[in-house]
Amino acid sequence: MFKTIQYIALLLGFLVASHSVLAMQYDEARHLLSRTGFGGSYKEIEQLSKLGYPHAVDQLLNGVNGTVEVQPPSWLFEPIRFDRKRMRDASEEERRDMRREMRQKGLELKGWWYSEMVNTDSPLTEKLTLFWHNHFTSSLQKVKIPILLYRQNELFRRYALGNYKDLAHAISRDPAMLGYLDNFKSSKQSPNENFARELLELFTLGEGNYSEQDIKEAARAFTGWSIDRNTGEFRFYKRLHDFGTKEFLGISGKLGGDDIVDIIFQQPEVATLLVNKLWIEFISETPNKIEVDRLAKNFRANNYEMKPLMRELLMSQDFRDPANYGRLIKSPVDFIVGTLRIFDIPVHDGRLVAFAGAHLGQNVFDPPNVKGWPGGEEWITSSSLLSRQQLLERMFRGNDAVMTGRADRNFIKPKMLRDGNQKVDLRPFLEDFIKSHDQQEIVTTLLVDDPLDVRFTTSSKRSLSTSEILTLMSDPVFQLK
Amino acid sequence: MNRREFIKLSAAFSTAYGLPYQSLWAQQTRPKYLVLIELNGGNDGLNTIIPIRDPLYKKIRPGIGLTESEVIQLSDKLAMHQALEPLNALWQAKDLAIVNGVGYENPNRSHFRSIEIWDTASDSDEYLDTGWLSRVIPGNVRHPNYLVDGVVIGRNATPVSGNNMRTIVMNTIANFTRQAKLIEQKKQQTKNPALAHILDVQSDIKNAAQAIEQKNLGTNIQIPQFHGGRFGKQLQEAAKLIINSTAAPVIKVSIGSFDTHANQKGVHQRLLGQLAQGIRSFYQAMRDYNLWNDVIMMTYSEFGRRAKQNASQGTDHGTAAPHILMGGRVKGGFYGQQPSLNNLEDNDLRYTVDFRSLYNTIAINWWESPTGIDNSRYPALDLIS
Repeated sequence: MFKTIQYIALLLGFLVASHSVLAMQYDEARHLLSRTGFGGSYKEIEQLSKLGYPHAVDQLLNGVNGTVEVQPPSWLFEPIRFDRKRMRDASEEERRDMRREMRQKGLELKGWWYSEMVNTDSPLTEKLTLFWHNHFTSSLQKVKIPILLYRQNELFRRYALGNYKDLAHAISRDPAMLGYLDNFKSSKQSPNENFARELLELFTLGEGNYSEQDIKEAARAFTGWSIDRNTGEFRFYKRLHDFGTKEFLGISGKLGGDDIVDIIFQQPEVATLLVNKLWIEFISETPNKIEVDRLAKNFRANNYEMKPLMRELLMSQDFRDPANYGRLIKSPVDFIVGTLRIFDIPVHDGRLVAFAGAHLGQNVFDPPNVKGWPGGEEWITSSSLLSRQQLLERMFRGNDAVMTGRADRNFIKPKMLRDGNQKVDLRPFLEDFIKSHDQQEIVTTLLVDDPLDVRFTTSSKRSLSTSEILTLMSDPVFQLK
Repeated sequence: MNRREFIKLSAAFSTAYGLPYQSLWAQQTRPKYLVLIELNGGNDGLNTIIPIRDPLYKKIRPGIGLTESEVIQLSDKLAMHQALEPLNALWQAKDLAIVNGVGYENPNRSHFRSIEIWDTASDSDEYLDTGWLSRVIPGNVRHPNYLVDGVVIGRNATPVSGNNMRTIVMNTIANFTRQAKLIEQKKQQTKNPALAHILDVQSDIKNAAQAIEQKNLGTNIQIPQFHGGRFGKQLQEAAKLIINSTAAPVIKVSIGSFDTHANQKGVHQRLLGQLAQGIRSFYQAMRDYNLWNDVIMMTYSEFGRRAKQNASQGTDHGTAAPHILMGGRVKGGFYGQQPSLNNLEDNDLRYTVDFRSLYNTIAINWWESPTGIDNSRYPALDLIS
């Protein structure tokens, strides 16, 4: 009995605490949604702020699972045909047709991902998938076969908050990666160092933490790790593999690719590199070294489990520090997907959205090089800033909205679209938005900080016109997250 | 409007808009422009400047090789593609330098990676974040003497990005100024570096657009329509910017795609024709305005193409290629060494001049910059008087 009372008292105490101390402010919930996703609507932000902060973080993390909302294009599930004879014997015209088909499919794939980002219930899943895509880069331009990039995307989605070391093992036998970094043609006779080099330099250890000889030895260990020409799956070609003794980072033996990954993950630099990268993605451009070291240490102690790391990151003082609100620049994906989501605009043709993204500098599935998109301030140049602005103008003009509407020569090449595309007027969506929100709600939803334009105070409850919303979205603060 | 009137106008303009720059001409030095021409896609050097009398040439290019009637002989060994005929006047005037065999060690054959190597002037296995021009443009040639540091007409601003380079990208001047009107500039102090960056970019756009507009309103420069298709139009915009004196030390244009894997001959002929016609129109305009001595033009491309043609009457990605520099102060003629067809490496030409020597020629001999790009290893070429 006494125990029960004590328990109830405890529970009551907790409830009181959760309402007074733990309850989040609206601003903090907005920050959380803008960094872990593509921003939230007024309602979403309000709902989240009613949970305690730790609960909100857990809810977001638990929402991450490998599933998708939008059905991927059906050709992805047709049996794969790598008919080498057909390729070899094809006439020039047939080759051109095949190349065109690959381009079309690639574009559909990009469009599908955008649709998924706009429709998903777990934006954090997409954020992390994109993070991995930008970490373990591969591009369609190089790999050319869309299904391989799709399978890689699936892998990233599955491992979004999984085990980093396992992901590194998996990516080492990922066909898109093996194609992108030329490992598929690496043999004992002529080892190709491209994958081994980037694995060490960009993916795990970082420059200065290995020698040129380590690259050569690692490359030998990955010889024969290739792609089955008939199925497009990973295949280990024994006769191309170098079974000899290698010495890698001071360890000697008849090492294979998996041994290399295992040895790499014994080095402390691996955790530091990744935590730094996550910091720049989620918190600010200037990682706090002491905190990075602490998080990296725990990351290693947790055997590279991503979920506890992300939890710690989102719970950290630095993440929650209001001084860090609005300190990151929206990527083109943030900008476009966030805009579509906030106005609840359905994706009519994802390919057009993908074109818009490419035009603003983020062609998904086609990072500029193995280092990925540089991001940060590099997102904003005179050209991309003007393009962002123009995109909004078109959207608000309604009749030739780029993102879901008519093909515009400046943004997309109409001839690349197989079928005609239909004009969709976005203005009704904007009008719906206006009808259901007042000035205070709109300002605090669209922007992560007060606009520079002082006309828009957050205390007014009046309603806004579409042109006022355009003005708000043209405010430099709209570029921030 | 003559130059003197322009100085007055620009001085008045600076005051009126409170722009933080001084007119370069007020200091009595003539500006030095670089017009950088990207041959996007990888130009086939061997069919641009051709070792026409080399029997090996005909052997490795049985289908797409040019015959003597399809070229203009420049020396006893080398000829240029007949489509480049409009450049003959520049060659005759000794205003055109051809540098043979330009490339780099351990060539990369990916478009994206190789153009990045050229744009950032890196080694083949080195990743740099900044454009080469951002590292060599000397302080006295940079903003604030000019409005901005670089204007890119069309695609790819990498060579002029990084290190606080102020670069604007446009398709046409009219389009740019119209788009810029959509931007409402807010002057604000902020401690947020991300916001500060956006405000900086906005202010670059606004300043450039206002100045361009202002000057166009006053002058309405009429230059004859340029030849050379879309490329010619880009050069026409470049010419307007230079004649209006509003621009930047670097103006970049591009033409392509030179990625001629199949049925190369017709496409290549057309592209080289546009290239030459555009340059010829530009040359004419610069001479009309007495500016040809103030300009140097230079081509570059991610790579040349495979020496041996492929089975589809085209060429695959290769390595070294010739590049050309033009201008009133260029000492015309051949430079570098034509790579031997006898000494191929994986069916590719071996480079004889590192591309960074071209960059150092611009940096050190043209702009008299104190720093080049590793200029002890890649010496500048003596082709500017």
